[in-house]
Amino acid sequence: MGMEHGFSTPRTETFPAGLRVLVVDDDPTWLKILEKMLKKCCYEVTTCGLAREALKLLRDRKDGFDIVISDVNMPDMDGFRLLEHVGLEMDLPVIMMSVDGETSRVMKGVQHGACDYLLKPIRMKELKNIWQHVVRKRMHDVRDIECFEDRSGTDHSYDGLYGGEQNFLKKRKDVDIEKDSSDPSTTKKARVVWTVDLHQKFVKAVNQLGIDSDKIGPKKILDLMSVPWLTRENVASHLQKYRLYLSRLRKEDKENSFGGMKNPDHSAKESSGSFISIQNSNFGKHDITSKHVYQGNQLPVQTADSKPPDNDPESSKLLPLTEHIIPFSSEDCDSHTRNSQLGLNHTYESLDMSVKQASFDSPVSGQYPWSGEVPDHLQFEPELKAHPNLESCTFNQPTVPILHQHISPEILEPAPHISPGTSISKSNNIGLADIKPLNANECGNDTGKLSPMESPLGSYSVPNSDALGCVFDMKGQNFSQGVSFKEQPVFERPLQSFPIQPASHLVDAQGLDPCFDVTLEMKKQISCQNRSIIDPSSVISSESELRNQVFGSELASGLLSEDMMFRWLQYGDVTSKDFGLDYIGFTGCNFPDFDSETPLPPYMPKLDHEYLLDWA
Amino acid sequence: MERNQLHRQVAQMRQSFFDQGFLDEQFVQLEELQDDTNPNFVEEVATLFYRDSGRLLTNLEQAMERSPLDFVRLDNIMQQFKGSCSSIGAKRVRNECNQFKEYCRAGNSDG
Repeated sequence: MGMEHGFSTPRTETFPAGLRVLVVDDDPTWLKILEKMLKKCCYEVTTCGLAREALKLLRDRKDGFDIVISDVNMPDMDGFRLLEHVGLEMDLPVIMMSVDGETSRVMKGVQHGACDYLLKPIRMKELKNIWQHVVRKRMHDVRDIECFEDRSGTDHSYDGLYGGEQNFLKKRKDVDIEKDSSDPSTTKKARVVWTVDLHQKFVKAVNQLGIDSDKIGPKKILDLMSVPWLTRENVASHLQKYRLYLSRLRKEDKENSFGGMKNPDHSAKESSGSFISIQNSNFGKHDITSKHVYQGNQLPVQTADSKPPDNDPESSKLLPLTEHIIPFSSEDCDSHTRNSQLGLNHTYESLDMSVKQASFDSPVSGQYPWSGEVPDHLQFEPELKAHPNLESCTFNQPTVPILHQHISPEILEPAPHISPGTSISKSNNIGLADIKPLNANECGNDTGKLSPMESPLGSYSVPNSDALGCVFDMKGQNFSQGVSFKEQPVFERPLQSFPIQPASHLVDAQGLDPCFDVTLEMKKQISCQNRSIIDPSSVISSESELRNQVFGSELASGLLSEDMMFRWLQYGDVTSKDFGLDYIGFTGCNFPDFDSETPLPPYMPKLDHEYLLDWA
Repeated sequence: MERNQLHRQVAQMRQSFFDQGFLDEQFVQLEELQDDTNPNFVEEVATLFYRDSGRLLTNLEQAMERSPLDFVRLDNIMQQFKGSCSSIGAKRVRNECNQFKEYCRAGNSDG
């Protein structure tokens, strides 16, 4: 092991030639110049004008780049934040550049984890040497493993669990590291890939210990995680990153806590609900824990960036949203969601919820503020204990609504992915719509309208079924009873990729929480279901409704959303294209005005922008 | 010949730019980047620069028309412009940007 074995891929044969560089800068002039310069260095260059787009690129091609060069001042996202995301999610070396060379700025760059800070104008010779950062990082990764092996028994003397398994762990680690490195190019590096699952475990462990408590240590986390091949060093470095991220989010949260929130009413409930829903929807997996990890981060980014045109962005969107929701509890929520969104966006390319890199940006951070309350959420058990989380989320601040917004669009997005063949937007919508009614029912079937839904909702055993049943009722379509999701086959057929779990836990959650989660899940399911069960035409209209509903439900912590949801169902005006970004702005406030035909769409776009700005 | 004359003229102008401090080493770097694969590199970059600065100047004008002056916004615009200038080595403009920023920081609307 070691550097000499590290570069086996063709592109590294004549290292550093062929180094894959991603350049992010809002100034087109600089992009052109840097591209030319890097090409002269025989590097493989990809340029990008927007930070969000860059994150998307990075996520789409997990191992497609070796190093990232980014400008500090960018309109859509702060360069430092991008830096954090890249560091957390992809663990790539990032170089910052700026015209401004003030010590404070450079310090900030270093603190955020930048490998280097270049001053503009940039010289060719400076670019020629950027490969050293790539090499250095790989060496550190390798060293992690070596350290583990060397330390057998010494470090964990006080830890009986560890000590005894040193050798075993060592062996496992070697093997697993290779396995974990998803990219062929990283296998030699033996770098630990923080997959979604892994990250979730990490977050869970941290929450159990209490992120804010000083006594939290890598060893304890490692023990809790009980991942045999993971080393203490891996956890330590990951923890450090995570902490930095959290602290940053917290600061930002404090500043922006209510920047985007329009609905103070939809506090905790919404957040929790959406959080959960998002989680569910995003993760597709049955493993709730993993879901929540992604929640916050995934969604926000997506929504802000683009409309949900394709599945990939959508799926990723959904996931992040959930995350955001949960973190809301504290001021962190806002920032977390944003961060998480950005970070997570792309992990969920498909609803299938393939293991996404553990982007713990937001969920984890968000979690902590609540520490007392949230941890439960995070540790979602597959059984869908969504409820507990949602409830605890109630304390979410108004910020939550904001998150929901993000989530919904995102949530919807992923759904499309899940339903193969069917139009994504449709499926999303449907899912959402369905979910909403469910939420409403669950939350508190106050409205008369809800009552019919209630019954189907009552039996949440089958996550999907309930959601669907309810939704259809609202719309006036006779789906309610007709579409019984209990027939899992129906769901599963179209939803191959959908892990029923998300919905299931949504369903189970009697409180608000389920509602949100369900929305996501439901959406998926519904979408799938709809296709199979429902008349396509009706589905389409319901889609928009669903979206609205889902959106609304997410925002309005269940209780409020009931009315909204119904309204939305009838809304039918929202089109899929509106959904993506529009929903962001859709906070609880909208609900009251739901009766009007067009409250949502006009409102949402605005919110999107605001939200986007907030992120930047 | 006329061509030689033109060449000389251009060379002189170019030199004067450097002498007067309009341009700095960055421009030379750009020239060095130009090669056969990209014969009009410098020209392309300059075009991009002008286009981008045009946009920035418009923003600047709009911001200046407001009252009271939003110095933060002006500062941001200047930051962007400064970055652009540094890309082609427009030293003078860059210095002006710096001065502008100083004024912004001081809240000096007259400057």
